[in-house]
Amino acid sequence: MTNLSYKDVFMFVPNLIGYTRIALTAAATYGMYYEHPFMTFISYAASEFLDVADGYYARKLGQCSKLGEVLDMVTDRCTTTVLLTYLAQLYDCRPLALVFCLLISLDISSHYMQMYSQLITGKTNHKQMDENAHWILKAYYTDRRVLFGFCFGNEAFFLLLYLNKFLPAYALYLSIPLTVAAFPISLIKNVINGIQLYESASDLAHLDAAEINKSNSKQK
Amino acid sequence: LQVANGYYARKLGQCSKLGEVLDMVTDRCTTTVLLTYLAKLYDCRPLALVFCLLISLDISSHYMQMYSQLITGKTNHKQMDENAHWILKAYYTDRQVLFGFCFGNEAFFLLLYLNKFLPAYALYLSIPLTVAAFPISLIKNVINGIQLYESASDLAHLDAAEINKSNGKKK
Repeated sequence: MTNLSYKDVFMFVPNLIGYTRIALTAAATYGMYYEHPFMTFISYAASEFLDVADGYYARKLGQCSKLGEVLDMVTDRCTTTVLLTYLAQLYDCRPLALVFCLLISLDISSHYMQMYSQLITGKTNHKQMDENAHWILKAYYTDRRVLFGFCFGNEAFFLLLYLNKFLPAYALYLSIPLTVAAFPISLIKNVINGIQLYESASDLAHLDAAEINKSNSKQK
Repeated sequence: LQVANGYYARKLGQCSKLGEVLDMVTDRCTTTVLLTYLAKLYDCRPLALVFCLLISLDISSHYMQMYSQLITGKTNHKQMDENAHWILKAYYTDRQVLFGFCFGNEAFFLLLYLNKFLPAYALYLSIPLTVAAFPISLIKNVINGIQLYESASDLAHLDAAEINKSNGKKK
């Protein structure tokens, strides 16, 4: 078997899917600001669909990579952020705009904090921290389908909020009930983001305290 | 206060990983919300797309760099530094240069915001400042792009090495 180079990793199928998702996000953003709602919807939905595909192909083709993992996470953050950015403008009511800004910040910070905490504490007693984890987080992470359902419902809610501004009246009879149904899912997902942010920060603080205590006792 | 938190961390011996991430996350959020509003304030559509691109570039380059540094921190970090792009080496060599670019970048966006609200006489000062800050912001974002690519490359190098190693073990 030939030696892989870093260029081969860049060309892994799941990573190529990742680049396609980025292009689709760019297309969706263009569609938002140039008011082509159909283009936006198709691009955004296709990007979300490919989010499932890239993990599937990574496992199927044995092409899992750390690059692919980060690419996936970064693309998710960017797609959610640009949509929320536009919603803050589309829903011109000022308190609502602040809510969207809060959601952007919560999404970025909770995922960032969790990623950092997992990478740093990955070497320490990870299992012990899992047992101490908040019961909501344990419930959330136990079943991958539950996790996926919440992420999907959250994104669907924001996409529906976008669409509702452009759909003809007859379509609203379907989309508005869907939006109302998706709202609690989005609410719970963002509450979970908040809990995750706090728990990851706590894990880091635990590690900091342990390290400082260790170096203090060495100095004595 | 962003300058202050680093100062006090070192002065009081209160450096922490939590503080490091908190700092980074706050930076990302403050930049993102300002750019989000600028995308709305500057109603011209191509400009809005540029702001969206800048948001994405800021988030992704810092995320990718952080991940790459944490993962590859255990491997031959010094070798990768030598292979790093000359622009990145120049940028990171002097902390004051780094700080200057970050400050200039943020100042540029803040000035873009202020210029929409300042009275005419104040614009005689703020618009030249904005024009002066523009090349700094441009270079800073080009550096973000280079950092994004270089960090992704580092991860790809690591992935290739790990896969080759596990393939070699199987034979």
